[in-house]
Amino acid sequence: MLSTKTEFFLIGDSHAVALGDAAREAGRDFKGGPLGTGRDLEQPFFRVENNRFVLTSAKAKELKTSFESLLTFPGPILCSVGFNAVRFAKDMREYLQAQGCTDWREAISEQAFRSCVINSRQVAIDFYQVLAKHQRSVWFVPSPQLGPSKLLPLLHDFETVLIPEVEATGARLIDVRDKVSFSDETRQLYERSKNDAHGNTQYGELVLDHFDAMLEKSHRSTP
Amino acid sequence: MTRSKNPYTELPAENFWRSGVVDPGPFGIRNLFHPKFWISPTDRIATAGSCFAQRLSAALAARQYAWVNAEPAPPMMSASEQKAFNYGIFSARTGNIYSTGLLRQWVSWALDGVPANLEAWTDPNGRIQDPFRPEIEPGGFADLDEMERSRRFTLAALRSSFETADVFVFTLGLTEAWRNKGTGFVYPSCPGTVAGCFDTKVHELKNYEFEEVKADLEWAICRLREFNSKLRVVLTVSPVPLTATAEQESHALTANTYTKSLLRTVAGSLSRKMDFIDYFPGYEMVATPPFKAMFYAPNMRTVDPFGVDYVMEQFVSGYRDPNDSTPQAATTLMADINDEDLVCHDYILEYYNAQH
Repeated sequence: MLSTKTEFFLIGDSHAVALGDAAREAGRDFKGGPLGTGRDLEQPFFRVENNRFVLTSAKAKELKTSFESLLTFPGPILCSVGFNAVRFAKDMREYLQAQGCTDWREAISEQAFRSCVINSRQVAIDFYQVLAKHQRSVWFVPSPQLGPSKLLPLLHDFETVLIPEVEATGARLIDVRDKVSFSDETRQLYERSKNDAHGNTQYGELVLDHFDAMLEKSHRSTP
Repeated sequence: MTRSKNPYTELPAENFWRSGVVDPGPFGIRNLFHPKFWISPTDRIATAGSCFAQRLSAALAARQYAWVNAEPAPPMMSASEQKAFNYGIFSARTGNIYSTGLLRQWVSWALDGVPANLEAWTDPNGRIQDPFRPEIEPGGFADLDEMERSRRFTLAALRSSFETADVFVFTLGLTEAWRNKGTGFVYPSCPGTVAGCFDTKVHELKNYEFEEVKADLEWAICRLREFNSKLRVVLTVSPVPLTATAEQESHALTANTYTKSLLRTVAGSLSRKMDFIDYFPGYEMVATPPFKAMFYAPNMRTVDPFGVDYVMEQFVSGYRDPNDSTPQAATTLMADINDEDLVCHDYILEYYNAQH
């Protein structure tokens, strides 16, 4: 059950689908939606023109107008940009397997791992910085930490690097990972049918509930 | 009066300085070398050596040769970061191997094991540097464990590059090296320059003599050949002059001549001695009189891209079997699309479809 009716702006990769689905089901007012795969958003996908947020990706052509008001939208922005962690984890695992390793620490240093995360998500970090520059109220959601359980340590390490980078822009973390990836049972409960890397509508509800609780808390603490 | 027949009368034009060098001009010089074997684009080529060898690795990879990258960077690392972390420069992240003493040390560690308790250097800021590849990790390693893990990984990669290579190209760079007086271990650079602290009680200069350079190189190559019996070896001498000599009462120019002459002689001597070793005259293509230093940058050290390209073209065309077809690029745009993306695209489209 959603505790507030605050309109929000949703923007993100395929992980934003569950959030949009849940909001729709709840009859919630929101703008935006998912605008591409995580991979699409690893490449430069926007520019700012006179405070207008302009999508530059050819794939997002039809969505252009839906996102133009992002930087002037007065309400909170809910965002999953940059947290397509499963793709990162799969790529890294593939690389490690080719090197005959199971743990990235056997093959590369901590700063090299960090560099991999930051390099691969630089566009996302730039995006959060643009939102901060426009003084938007931003809330971000990490990946649901679903997908093959063997990827969990990598998902965790990826987010351990990326979350503080995004938080440094002033965006606030909505963290439901411990509820989702807690056990095989909870993972199954929240994963999308026939697509175990993405959350389902129930997962979307869980995130929105936390989002609302944090919004309320934030409103209460604002004089 | 006719000249009597002698050994020179039957020799081809390239055996004579005027007809082999002066008349054709630098770009007309032919038959500069007679390769002992062919190197096909599918032959796996491992590279190591001084800084000029870095250019060789890049040029081979750019020409679609099967350059062995036994320690590749993670694919999500940017090109500039890969370079900063020394990925893709040599077949393994050994850093530059300037001297044959250092090559011997790396080969021995990779194939026969690393001595216990190798030294490590701690920076004033607490980061750890590997004395045997001091520039390998920008800013150093987080701790000793990480440095040792990384070194083990590099040694395994180096071993694998030797195991899988068909050809090993080694570029000889220097005769001068710095060693640890107590252990005898050879450093790639003088302690206190790139990393570490120089201590006269611990560190010493070693300017290797001909016999020593030859013995170390011969040992390393024979050990490699014992390990991989099909391995062929190409030796080159870096045309990049030394930056400085540490010898007292010496001069950079005379020290450079001494160094390059000695290395060139060792390379020639070993290639004459063993049929699986060849000498590729990249040094002559850059540093000798007919080329008039035209490939050097104004600092008279750096070989410019035209020089690298020229040398590489000679390498590729010289070692190419006339029956080999030109290498083709193997990548296609379709290969860049993976299933996961297709799945994501699919249901993002679905999401928007549901709004109508």
